[in-house]
Amino acid sequence: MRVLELAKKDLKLEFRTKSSLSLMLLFSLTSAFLFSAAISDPEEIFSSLLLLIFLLTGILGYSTSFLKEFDSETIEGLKASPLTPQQIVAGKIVFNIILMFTVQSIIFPVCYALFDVSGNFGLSFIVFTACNASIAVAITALSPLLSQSRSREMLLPVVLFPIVFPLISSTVSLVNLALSGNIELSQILFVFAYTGIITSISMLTADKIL
Amino acid sequence: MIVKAKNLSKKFGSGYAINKVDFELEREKLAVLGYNGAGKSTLVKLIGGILRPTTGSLEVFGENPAFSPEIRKRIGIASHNPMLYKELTIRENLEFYSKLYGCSTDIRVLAEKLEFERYLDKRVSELSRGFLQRVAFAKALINTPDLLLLDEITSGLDISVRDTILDMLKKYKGCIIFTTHMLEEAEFCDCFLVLKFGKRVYFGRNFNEAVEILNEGS
Repeated sequence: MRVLELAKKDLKLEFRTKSSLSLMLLFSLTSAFLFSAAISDPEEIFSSLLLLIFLLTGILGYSTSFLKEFDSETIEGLKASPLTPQQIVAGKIVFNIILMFTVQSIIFPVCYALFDVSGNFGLSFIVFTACNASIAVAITALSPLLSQSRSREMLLPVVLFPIVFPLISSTVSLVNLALSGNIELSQILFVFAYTGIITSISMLTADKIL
Repeated sequence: MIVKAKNLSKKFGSGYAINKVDFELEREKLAVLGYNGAGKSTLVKLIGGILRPTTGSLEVFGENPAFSPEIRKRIGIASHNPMLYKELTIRENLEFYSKLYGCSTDIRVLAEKLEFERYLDKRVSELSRGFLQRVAFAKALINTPDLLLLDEITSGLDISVRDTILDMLKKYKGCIIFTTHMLEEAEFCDCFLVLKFGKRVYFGRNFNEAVEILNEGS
């Protein structure tokens, strides 16, 4: 329950200030419009563009909830409370997944329309949600590790890309398959396994990071 | 024994903020005295479970608070960092912490005692330094702790509010660890720990002796 209280507090803060949400929406919308204007046939590479937009949007948005706690020193209040480091990380993951879903619910249909994609909208949305959640977990888990670094904004993408690399090809092929109404079980299992492994690592290392 | 520190050290970079400090505390009120950089805040953070010792051992209610959420549940902490969310109101902040500690303290009663009940729905970002300190103190009391840690809590407060807080501390039934620059504020405590450059230079019950040692060589 404490995990949910932490996520609830972050949501309250976010919907009051709209700092991450507006930043993520603005960035992803601008990118979507730019790509649709610049690329002659964006439908061909829809899944790759979508992944790129959400990966960069995630780097901008998901890390801020932890960074704000460190910058305002409210992390000390959380550490002094009965929350375990694992509960703190879990609370942030829950918050970021809700944030991710909110942004994706707006941007995915916009990209679908802008890139003039034809295919199974529902299935591709669900499949992309699973992959995007995995990215959100990875960024959330990494952000406290880099939060005390002076060049944290630069370090996050550098450290993140090798970590999410295994997910990239699976996401692209899964979304492409989903658009044609198919699904490959082994790749979906891979995404779930990857999310599970990243979550487990973040829980195991939470004690050392926080 | 409520707090037991043995050879307690905390290192930041190449320097020790706390260097081999020993002390034991029963259900008493302890004043930690020292000038800037003596290690008072670091000691409070160690006892509050915010920091982990580099070497040595620290037991609060028999366990290291940094590794025990159950022990942290029994500790209340207020420092010059109020640990409050600026965009939330005072009520929302106190309710959030109350839920984290799993307690059902009446926030209004606490606010009335510290004279900020009219401001409960004000955002923390709109508060003055003095009000922030009061809310931080209320936050520390939210779980009615057995051990209250207060780091320079009276700095920046009006005399009347400062007196109210000191009066509450004198009547407080639990154990208190209190750091201050204002030596006269510490007089109500049962024992005194004097720190200089992270080292313990005095631990005892004589206030005058503690002040004398603190002022030696300054």
